[in-house]
Amino acid sequence: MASQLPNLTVLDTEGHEVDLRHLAKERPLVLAYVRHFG
Amino acid sequence: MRGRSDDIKAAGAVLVFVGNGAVPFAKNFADTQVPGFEVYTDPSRESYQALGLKRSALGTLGPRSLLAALRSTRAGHVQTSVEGDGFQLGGFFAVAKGGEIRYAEVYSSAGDRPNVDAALAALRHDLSRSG
Repeated sequence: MASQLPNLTVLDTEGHEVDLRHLAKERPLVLAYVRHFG
Repeated sequence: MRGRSDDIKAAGAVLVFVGNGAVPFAKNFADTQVPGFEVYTDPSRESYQALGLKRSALGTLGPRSLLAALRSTRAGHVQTSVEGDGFQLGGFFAVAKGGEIRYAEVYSSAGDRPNVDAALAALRHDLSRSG
């Protein structure tokens, strides 16, 4: 298991790229990876 | 998990969802399933792979998953479509401010459910300091 969030980007709901690590830069996260958007 | 969102917020953490469908599916999920929460998508599933999350036909279609689907349907949560990779499995993480992963669950079945208490316990030190 990674010990840090990976240095990768995801897309927000407007299609903008967001650095995954940036999401946790200023706050703790509870991060739920869902199987799909169904 | 949405039922525990108040506990997560009260503890000072932010609940964030990541899926793997196209952006319009992420927007629809955000608007209809988890309004008020941040939702992101990773159609490439690179972050799923980097975090060690599994992709399995047995895990999504096996007996445990079917029982979980039945329980979910009985509770009124009807899955209408699969908007993303149908064989991808999920996971659940507690991430400290700065990006360190303090707690991880890698699901083996579509029926696996997050342990929110364990995730918050893993962040407790940070949360009490940020306070």
